[in-house]
Amino acid sequence: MAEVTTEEKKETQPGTGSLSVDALEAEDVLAGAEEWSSTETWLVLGSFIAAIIALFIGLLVVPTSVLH
Amino acid sequence: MAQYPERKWYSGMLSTEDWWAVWIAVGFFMISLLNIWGIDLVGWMTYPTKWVFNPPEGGKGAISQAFYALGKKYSVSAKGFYKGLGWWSVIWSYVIFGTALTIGAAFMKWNVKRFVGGFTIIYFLTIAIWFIGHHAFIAATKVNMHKYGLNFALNLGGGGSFILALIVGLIIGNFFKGFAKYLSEAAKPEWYIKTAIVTLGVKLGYLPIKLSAFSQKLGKQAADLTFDLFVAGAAATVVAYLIFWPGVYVISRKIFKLPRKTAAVLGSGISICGVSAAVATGGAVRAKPVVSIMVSALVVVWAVIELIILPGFFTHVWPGTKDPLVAGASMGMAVKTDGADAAAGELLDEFMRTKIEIETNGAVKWPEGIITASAVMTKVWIDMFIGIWAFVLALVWVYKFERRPGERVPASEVWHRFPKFVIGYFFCWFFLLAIYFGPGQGGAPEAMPFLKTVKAGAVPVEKGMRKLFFMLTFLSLGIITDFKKLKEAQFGKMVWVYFVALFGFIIPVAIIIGYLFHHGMTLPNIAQYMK
Amino acid sequence: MPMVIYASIRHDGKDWIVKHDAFEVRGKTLDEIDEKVKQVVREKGLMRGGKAQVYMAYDNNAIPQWIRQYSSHYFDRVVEL
Repeated sequence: MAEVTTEEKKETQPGTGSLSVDALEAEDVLAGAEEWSSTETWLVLGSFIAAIIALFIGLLVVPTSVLH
Repeated sequence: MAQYPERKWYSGMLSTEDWWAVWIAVGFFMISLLNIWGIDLVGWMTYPTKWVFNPPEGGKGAISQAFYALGKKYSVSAKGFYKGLGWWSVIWSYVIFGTALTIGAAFMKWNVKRFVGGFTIIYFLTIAIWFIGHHAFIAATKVNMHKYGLNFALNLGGGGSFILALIVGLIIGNFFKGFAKYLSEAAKPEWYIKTAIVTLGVKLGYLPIKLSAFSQKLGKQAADLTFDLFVAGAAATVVAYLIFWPGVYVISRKIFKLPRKTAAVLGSGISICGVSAAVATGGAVRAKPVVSIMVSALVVVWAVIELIILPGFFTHVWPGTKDPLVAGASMGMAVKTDGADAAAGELLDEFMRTKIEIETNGAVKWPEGIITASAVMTKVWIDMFIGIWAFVLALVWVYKFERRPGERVPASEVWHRFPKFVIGYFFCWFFLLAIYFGPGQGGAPEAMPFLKTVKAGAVPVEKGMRKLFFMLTFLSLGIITDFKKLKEAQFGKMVWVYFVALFGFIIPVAIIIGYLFHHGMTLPNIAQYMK
Repeated sequence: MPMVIYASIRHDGKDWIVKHDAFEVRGKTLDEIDEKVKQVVREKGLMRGGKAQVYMAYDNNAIPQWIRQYSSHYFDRVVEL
């Protein structure tokens, strides 16, 4: 087994992790919005349509739904 | 041995909180079943009861009886021994639960010394709060306050202790930050609640057994009700999530102009299961982990704000005691993180049961735990569903958006993201159901002596252990919640995305869907069977 | 059958880092990481029949401890070459 370096030991110390909220580059996370793409439209609509189908089936099948 | 071995399906069984919640709760559950053979090894679990400084003559509430070992009431084989424990049950519980948790902490490579120190403080603080919260002035209702010689009580039931635990935790977390940091090694609300949720599985399985003691029909009704919650919860959760996620995604992208990955992680973080979803989605869309960590830091604070507001709102504004399970299920879909949701469900359970008892002057009493179960059921489903949704997102991101040459998404991701504590929850529930329908003969009168031995084991786990772990959760949630986080500049508009999406979209949709699937579900009335 | 190479991946706030017994690479983006990994795998001759699969498992220890109780799995990714 390879020798564990001091840096690796530090990383595996409980509680440390290698990241904390204080070490963030917030701009990086919040800025730079990409153009809206057709894949996103497809993903969002697909999800809503799946929800409507699941709702319809659910209301019919689930015995405690308002339809029963 | 290679330093970076293959991740196997069983990797993490001894090193993650999820699995340790299973080992600890299922372990105590299995030990409790020894009662069937006349060996009671769980009757020491401590439980509080209401008390007053000066109990009336012939009335209730002596301080010396404020904590007792549950075996005193329920044990079949060792009642005498457990009766003698009294307050010592607090120490027994500390040593035995503390040892079990410390073994887990050691396997997870935490700092054991700090864990033991932190846990000791958190445990005894919990006991002190539990004790204070059970002063009859806080916990009694106007129906039973006279037994304690009181003419006025706050009508909070067991909810008073939970609120106190949260308040004390928040004071530590916001005003004594050095102390909170010291306690942080043991302030693990999600680990405690996952353990408590597994014991909630024991509660669900035990419910028909409990009600069979009143009448066989009532037992069957309870079994049916829990199954209905299981099915309705699944349908409601899938529908809700598939509406929540794209909704928040569009709000984040179109209104707040956030980048794709941040919007995706926020979509999951705000939608239902908070931190675990934020981590799962962050990984799925290959975001830098800081995105998940930032969203998570927000989630935990907003979740506690929901925990403070929603139980009272659902109990006293809408839907009240008319539709307690609509309230419970909606709670499960609206409140982020398992810990805050289960805690909010438990608070709702206490508030609703107390309210119905007062409204009907004691003519209606509901069994405890069903409303909590309705709040946890939707959450458990979403915890499972997020693994599948994260897989779908990974496919979209890796194969559609980013298209790195040669990259592929392993199907094993679905298993690695599966919330393992859910296995323990279902195992305990179905194991007890099997006992109920099998040797328990569906609660037939001739099987009652046998079921009584099962009860002797199940009650300490589903009542004593579960409530203790809920209390630990409330206190720990408070300790790790720092409201100042909301003011930190780095979160910027994410705070507002969260606020708008949560109150303008998530909570209303959760209520509507909760209503569509749970409206009209009723709880069994056990008033006539209670003393 | 391609050679399967198991490695760990994590992010330290600035870079993605992939570690294996025989190599360690850093990069700002996953694209950069993939390129470097492919290069080092070729250089060190870690392929079988001209093919290899690099399985990068996210290092759980790099997830902050307070978050691990909620979810201990970030992602595993596979890159084929």
